[in-house]
Amino acid sequence: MLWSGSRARMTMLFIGFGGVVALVWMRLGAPDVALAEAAVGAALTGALILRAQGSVPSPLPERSLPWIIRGLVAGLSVAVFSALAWALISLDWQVRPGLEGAVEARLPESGVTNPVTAVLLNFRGYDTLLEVAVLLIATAAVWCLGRSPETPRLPPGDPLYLALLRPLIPLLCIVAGYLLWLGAFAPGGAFQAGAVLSGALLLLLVAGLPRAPGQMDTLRLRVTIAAGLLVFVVVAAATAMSQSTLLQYPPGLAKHLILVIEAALTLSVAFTFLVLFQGGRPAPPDGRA
Amino acid sequence: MPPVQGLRMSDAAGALLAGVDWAAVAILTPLVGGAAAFVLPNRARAIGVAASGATAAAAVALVWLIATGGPYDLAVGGWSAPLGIRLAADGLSAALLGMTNLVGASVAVHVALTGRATKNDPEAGVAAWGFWPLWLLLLAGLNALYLSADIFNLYVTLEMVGLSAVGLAALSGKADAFKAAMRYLLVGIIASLVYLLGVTLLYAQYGVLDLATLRQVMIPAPATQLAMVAMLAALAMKSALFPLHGWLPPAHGNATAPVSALLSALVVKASLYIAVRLWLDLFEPTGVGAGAVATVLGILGACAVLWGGLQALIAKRLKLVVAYSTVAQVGYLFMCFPLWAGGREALTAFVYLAVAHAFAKSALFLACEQVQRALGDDQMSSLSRPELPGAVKITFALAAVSLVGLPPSGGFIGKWLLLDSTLLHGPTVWTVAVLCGTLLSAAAMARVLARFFAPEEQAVAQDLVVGDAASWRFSLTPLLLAAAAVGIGLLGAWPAELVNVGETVQ
Repeated sequence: MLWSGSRARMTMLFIGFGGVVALVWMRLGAPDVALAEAAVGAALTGALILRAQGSVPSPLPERSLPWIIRGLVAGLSVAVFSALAWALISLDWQVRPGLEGAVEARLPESGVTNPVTAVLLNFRGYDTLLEVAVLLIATAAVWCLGRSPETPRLPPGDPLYLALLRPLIPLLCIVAGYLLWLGAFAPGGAFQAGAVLSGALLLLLVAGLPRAPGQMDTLRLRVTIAAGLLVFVVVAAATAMSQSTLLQYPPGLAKHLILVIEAALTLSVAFTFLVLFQGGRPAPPDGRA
Repeated sequence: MPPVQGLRMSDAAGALLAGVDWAAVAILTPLVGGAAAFVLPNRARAIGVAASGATAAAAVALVWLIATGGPYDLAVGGWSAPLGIRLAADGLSAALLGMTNLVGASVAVHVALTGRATKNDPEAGVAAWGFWPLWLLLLAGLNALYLSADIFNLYVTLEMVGLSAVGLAALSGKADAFKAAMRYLLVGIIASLVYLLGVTLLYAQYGVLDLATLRQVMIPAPATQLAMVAMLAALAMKSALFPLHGWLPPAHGNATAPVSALLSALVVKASLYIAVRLWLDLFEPTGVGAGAVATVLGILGACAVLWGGLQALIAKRLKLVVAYSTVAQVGYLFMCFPLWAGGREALTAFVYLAVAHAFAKSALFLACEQVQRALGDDQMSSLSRPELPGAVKITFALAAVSLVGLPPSGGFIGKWLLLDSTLLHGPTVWTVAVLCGTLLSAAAMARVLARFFAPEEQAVAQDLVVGDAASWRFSLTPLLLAAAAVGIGLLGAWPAELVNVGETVQ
C-alpha cells in the first residue's frame, strides 16, 4: 500500500484496507471498534485524504537523504521494534488485568446496558467531554488557516446522481438515528451515528445543490458545531451544582442525560466532519469578505 | 462529599469559598467561553477577556484553598478510583495552576488592549478572531492537565493543549509560521502517540489508569520500564529538551507575539509538569526509574542550558534570542531531575524557576512586539536605534534580571536553590553547568540591553512611524509581568510552603 506509486491508488487502497480492518475487528469480537473503523477510519478519513490530494502539489518531493541519516533511522526503528517485541513477550498474557470486571459490576448504575457507552458517557465521561473540546479545537484551527477552497462538485442536476440521493439521504438519516438510539444497549452511539450523518451531508454537498447545509458560515452552522460541547458542559455544570460532584448524574436521570448529550454530539460530529472536509472557513452568507 | 477535605474554616470567606468546586469552575468556564467565542465571532474579544478573568479568579480561589486547607481530590462522576477518573491537586499543581492563569489572563488583557489598535492591519483579521476560541480551549486544556490524576486523561489534556497550540502558532498567517506550525504539529502528534504507547503498555500490565492505584501495583518489570522510557521521551520531545528542541525556535519565533508568549511561558511547562508528576509519583517511588534515567535527563538538561545559551548569544533576531533562551531554561528545569532524590529543595527550585520564567518570558515576547512595531523589524543590528520607547527597555531589563537570576528576582531564588541542591547532592560538574549557563544567558541579555542603552550617536532622521508602540496599551502588561517576575522573589517563604502541600498525596 505504501509503495503503490500513484496517490489516487494509495488512497483507494487505504479505504479498502480500512474495510478489511473493520472486518478483522468484527471477527475479533469488537463490534464497536469495527463500526468506528468502517465509518471514521475507512470512509471519512478516505474522503479527507481524497479532498486533500487536490490542494497538495502532485509529484511528491523525493529527496535522497545521506546514508548516515538513513542508517540511523533504520537502526532506531529496529531498536524500537525489538524493545517493543521484548516487552510484549515478557508480558504474562494468561493474566489479563483490566477494568472489565469493575465496569460489569457497576453497569446497572450507569443508566445504559452497553458497556462501551457506559464507559464513554458515564464512568469516563470526563474524558469524552475533553475529547469533544478537541473536535472544536480542530475546527477552529482549520478555520483560522483561511477560507475553504472550492469544493469539487458534480455537474449540477445530474439526473442519475439525484435519483440515487433521493432514497439514500433519508435512509442514511434513519440509520444515524437508529445507531444513536442503539448505543444505549448495543454497539453504536454518537460517534458512529455522527459519521453516518456526515456521509449524508457530504453527498449533498458534492451534489452541488444550492441549499446543501454547511456551505455558508452562518450562526446556525457554528451553533451546530459547538452544540455537543455546549450541551455537555451545561450538563457538567448542572451536576457540579446540584450533586456537588462534576458529572455525577442524578439517580434515575442518567439515561436521559446520556441520550441528550449523545444527540447533540451526533449533530456536532456530523457537521465537524463536514467542515473539516471543506478544509477552511466557508464564506459568510452575504458574500462579505 | 466536600471537594476539599480537612479544611479548617477560620473565617466566613473561607466557608464561602469552600462551598464551590473551583476546580470544576476553572475547567468549565474556559470551555464555555471557547465555544461561545467560536459561535459569536463579533463578541469574541469581550467573551475572551471575561472568561480568562473569571477562570483566573477561580484558579486563585482554588490555590488559596489548597494553600490553607490541603490538597484537592475529587472522583469525577462519583465513580471512585480504578473505574472513574480522579482529579487531584497538591502544592506543585497549585503553583503551576496559579502561574498559568495569572500569566494567561495578563496576556489575554494585553491582546484585548492592543487588539483595537491593530484592527486596520489586514493580516490581523483572521488572527484576531481565531485567537480567542483557541486560547480559551488551550486554557481549559492546561487547567485540566494540572488537575488530572489519571494517565489516560493526561493524554487527552495533552491533545487539547498540543492541538490548540499548533492552531495558535499558525495564526500569524506568514508562510514561515505555517511551516513551523506544520512541523510543530507533526512533532506533537508523534510525541502524543509515543506517550499513548506508554499508557497502553501500563494498562496491559496493570489494568488501571489512576496514578495512585498504579503506584500501589507497579513493579520494575521490563515492559513497565519501556513504558516509562516511551512516556518520558514523548514528554521531553513536547517540552523541547535538547536534542529534541529543533521545532521550538521556529515555532515560537514566527508566531504572533502574544502567542509566542503563551507557548513559551505556559505550553512548554505543561508537558514538563507531567514528566515531573509521573517521575515523582510513579517511577521513582516504585523503583521503576533508576537514578541512571534521571541522570540522563539531567545531562540532556545541562546540554540544553549550554546549547540554548550559546544559540541565544549568537542569534541574529531578537525573537530568536528570546526563543533560544527558552531552550536553555527548559534545560535548568530538567537538571532538577537527578537532584530530587536529595529532597524537596530541588522541587522548590523547579517551581521557582518555572514560574519566574513564565512571567519573565511572556513579558519579553510582548516587549518584542513593541520593538517590532517601533523599528519595523527585530534584527539585532537595528536595536540601538533611538525610536525605541523607554518602557520597552525597562521591561527588558527587569525580565532579564529574573532570567539571568540576579537578586531579588524569582529567578534568583530558583537558581540559588538549584545551586544549593547541586552542591549538596550532585557532582561538581552540575554546579559548573548551572554557572556556565548563567554566564551565557547574562551575556545574551547584556548583548540586547547594551544595544538598547547604547549612546545614540547618530540620531538619523527616521521616517519610520513609531506609531502606537509607545502607547500605554502596549507597554502596560509587559511591564507588569516583568515586575511580577522580579517581585516573586519578595514573596518570602509562602511559595515554598505552597509547593510542599500534600507531598505524598497524589
